[in-house]
Amino acid sequence: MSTAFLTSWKVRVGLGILAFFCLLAVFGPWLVDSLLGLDPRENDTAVIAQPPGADHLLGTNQFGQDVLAQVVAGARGSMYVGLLGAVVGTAMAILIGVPAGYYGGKVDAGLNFLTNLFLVLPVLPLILIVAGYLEGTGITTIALIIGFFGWSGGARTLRAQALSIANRDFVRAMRMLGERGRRLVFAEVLPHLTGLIASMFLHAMIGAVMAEAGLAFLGISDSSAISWGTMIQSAQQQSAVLRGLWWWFVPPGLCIALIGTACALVNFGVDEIANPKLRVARPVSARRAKRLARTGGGA
Amino acid sequence: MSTVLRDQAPEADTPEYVLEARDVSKHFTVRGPLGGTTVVRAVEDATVRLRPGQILALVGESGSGKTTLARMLARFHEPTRGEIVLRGERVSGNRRAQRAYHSEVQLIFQDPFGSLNPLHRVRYNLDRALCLHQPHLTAKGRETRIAELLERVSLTPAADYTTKFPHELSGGQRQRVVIARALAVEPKVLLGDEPISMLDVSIRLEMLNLLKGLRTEDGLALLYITHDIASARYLCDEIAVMYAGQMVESGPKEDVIASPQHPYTKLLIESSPDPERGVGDRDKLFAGADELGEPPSLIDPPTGCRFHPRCPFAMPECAVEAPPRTELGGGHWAKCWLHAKGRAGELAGTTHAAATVARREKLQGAS
Amino acid sequence: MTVQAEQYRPAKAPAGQAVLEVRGLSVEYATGGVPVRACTDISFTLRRGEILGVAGESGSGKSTLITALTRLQRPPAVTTAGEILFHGRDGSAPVDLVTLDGRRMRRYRWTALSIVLQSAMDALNPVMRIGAQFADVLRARDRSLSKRDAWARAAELLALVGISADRVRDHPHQLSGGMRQRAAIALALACGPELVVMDEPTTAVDVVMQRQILAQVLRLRSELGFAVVFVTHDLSLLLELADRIAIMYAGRIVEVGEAAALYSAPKHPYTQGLRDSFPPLHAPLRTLHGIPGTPPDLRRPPPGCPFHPRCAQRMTGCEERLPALLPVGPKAGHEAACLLNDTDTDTDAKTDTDSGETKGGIL
Repeated sequence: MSTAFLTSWKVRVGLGILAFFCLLAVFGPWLVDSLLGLDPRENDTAVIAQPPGADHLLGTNQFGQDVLAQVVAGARGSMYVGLLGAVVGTAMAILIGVPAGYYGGKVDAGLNFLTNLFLVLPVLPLILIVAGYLEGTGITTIALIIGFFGWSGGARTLRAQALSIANRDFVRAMRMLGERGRRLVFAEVLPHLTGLIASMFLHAMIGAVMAEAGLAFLGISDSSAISWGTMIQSAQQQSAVLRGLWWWFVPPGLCIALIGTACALVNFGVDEIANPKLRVARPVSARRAKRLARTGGGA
Repeated sequence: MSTVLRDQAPEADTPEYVLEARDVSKHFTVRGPLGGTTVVRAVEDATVRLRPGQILALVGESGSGKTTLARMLARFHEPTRGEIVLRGERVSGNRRAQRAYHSEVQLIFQDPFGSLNPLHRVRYNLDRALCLHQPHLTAKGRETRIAELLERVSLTPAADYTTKFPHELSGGQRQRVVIARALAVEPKVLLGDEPISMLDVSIRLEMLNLLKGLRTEDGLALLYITHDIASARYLCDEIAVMYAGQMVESGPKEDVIASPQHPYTKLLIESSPDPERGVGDRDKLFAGADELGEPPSLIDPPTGCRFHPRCPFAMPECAVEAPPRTELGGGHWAKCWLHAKGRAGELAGTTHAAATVARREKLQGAS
Repeated sequence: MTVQAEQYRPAKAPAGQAVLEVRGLSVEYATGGVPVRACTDISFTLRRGEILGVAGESGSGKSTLITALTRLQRPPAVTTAGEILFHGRDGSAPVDLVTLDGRRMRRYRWTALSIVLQSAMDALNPVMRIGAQFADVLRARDRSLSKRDAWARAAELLALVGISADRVRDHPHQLSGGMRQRAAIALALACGPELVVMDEPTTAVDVVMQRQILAQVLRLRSELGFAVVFVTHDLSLLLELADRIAIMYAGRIVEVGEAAALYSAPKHPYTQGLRDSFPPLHAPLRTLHGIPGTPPDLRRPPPGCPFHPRCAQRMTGCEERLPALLPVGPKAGHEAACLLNDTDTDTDAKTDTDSGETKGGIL
């Protein structure tokens, strides 16, 4: 499974992009500082709103800040929000969805009610209210809020899957052996959900990155923190689109799109592995079949 | 009739039967789309008794309630009425009792591909069973016991199999692992829910031979649930036939198969392929067999005898009152009005198809 | 009922004439590195109105054979060799179904050959009335047929398989599983095919319903005169039903012959083992063992006779030479592929090249 996972080019490309951004988030700011000697916060009034050039590879913004340094610094902020939000959201989905599906009955009724409640909550207004209530919304707070309001869809999917697995014969057989509930959940049921959980996690990550960008765009975020969302927001505030300062908002937008594409690619690849039906019609095997038909087989 | 059975039941302190289901019924309530409920009467007043070292076959078509009965005996379902009795003691529903019960009674599932977790090796399955039921064993003791168990089910050399995942094994080998896992508990009773029906034809007999060996060598009692009456005859001592949730006939296998005393048993036997009788005389063999009817719905079963709408021997009383149980000697009994009315002789002289044709002609002649 | 049946009776062609000739058919699966050969060198002839049973275990290639015969196979399965000659009832030149393009193949479906699948009962569209599904098929063949006539004919067809005509307005879920399976058979017969391929049509139904369906197939066969290829894992069933039986093992036909001859005097140890895998219902019981071992992995087939690792009568040479399918026994048309029957040493050269070829092809 672990090696089959990497044979798909979609998975490899997707994981490559994600790895690049993770490395960028971890080491990028340090590299930019030490190699290029740039500080994302430094205002250089000599070069305001410069297009990309030799000095500033991605140009500078209205405040004379280097866009490349900002994108790299923003990677740290955005990836941090994405990962933390996804971890919180996925963990809550597991803790609420799996027991609901496995135990059924009253446990299910209670947990499912909670899930449905969160599913129909108007999340964005609520986030606005909560963010307003918690004064000084740091980037961690934002991530936690995104995770806390974003688990319900995943919990529903997990509940359905856990329900179907809990009724499979092998779980019945282990229960008949006298295996206890918690062990049944973690040793028998949960391992079958890893693929689904991984895919949910990636989805949640795209969601969190986007949500952060969206919230920043609406002005709900720590304006002193640098993330792709805050970059786009300040570009918007300075009417960068109207003034044709495309190098200000395109790089962060592109980064967000790239992260989304990478997560989607990994998900497609995982889907193909989990569901062989998507694989049989792959052009490679169809081509091979045609070649076989022409040459009349290996004989 | 049920009182007759209770009178015969032995005293609780000297249990003759290791496992009994006494007059158990199971009704499932199904909620309709508009909130209305319907009741499916899956099993109605069924009685099963297993002596130590006995193999009883429960034969019936799908929907006859045989699997529901097995699942009640495996404690997956609580009976709606009636009781499950282990060694003369009524089994209660709490969790602790359930665990004790499962250390004596184990179920072999139909699907060997579904009853082993694909993510666990063979060793894990057996090791968990031993951990839970033989807690006195050390890790080393468990290891030797695993080897013994695998050899018991003819997976030799055992070392080749302990580290295998289910998908690396064939269907027959998986079912052997499932049996070994059940044996790790050291049960007294095995329930086999169509344990061979998903296996390749050529390896089914070896599986039956293995189950037979567990009875003769280890003294296990076995309830063998099947739709295949020929395999039931091969494996078991007694046969019980179920139709539409009720038991219609039971007795020593050769008596039941050679001279079925219920029209449904007769139909079932005549419908089962048997090349010995068949080859060559095909037209005669299939004559009249294209209108045999179908089992009734269990939501609204026929009144009286549930077989009467399909029965070529049906009488007016069949539609009104359920037939009494008639003892035919040697432990053979049937529930059919033919016996009460002295018409049982008619069963032996004809086939179901021929009797149906004769009856139709008679009805047409009368009208 | 017989009067209605008259309409779908194929024009009389001399009995005993071939309707389907399969010659040297091989099918491979092109997955992964090495192509897997699921059917190798299959040859048989099916005569008009004949029931040919094909028996085999899982992985014997019987389902692959069916999809190849009916051209329902999808990549990665591909027919790599051989021809499937279909002889029309009008006496025109035979057509090779393997090379037929999609448009012309569609002309042959339903009218020349149709198929009943194991899950045919689930193949009916759940949201369409039974009659509408029949009408679709009937009117696709014959544009001039009015809707009303098509529904009337659907009712007649259902009556053929013993389903009352008023059921034509039902949806599939209102019918029991056995009824749906019979409706699927009626649908397969809708356009008067000359050949019906049945893939385990009774595996999902109970024994009594199975009996009923088989009796109906036999009756309709004698009324309408179509030929049947009946594929199943249940040899005991075929012995009662089929005229001739082909036994498949590891993608090859290992024995073919009349049902009676195959039962009383099987010439291949696998056929013997398979026959003895069904405990008798009335004859005295003895301990039976079936066939020990498991079928070979077709990705790595054993050299020589594919059955030799499980064969109790294995001799020297079995692991090297691939036996050819040769006539055996007193009955005409009885053939088996086993060295036990090989008394003529002249065939050595032939079988040797055969096995050499196969080895080169697969390894």
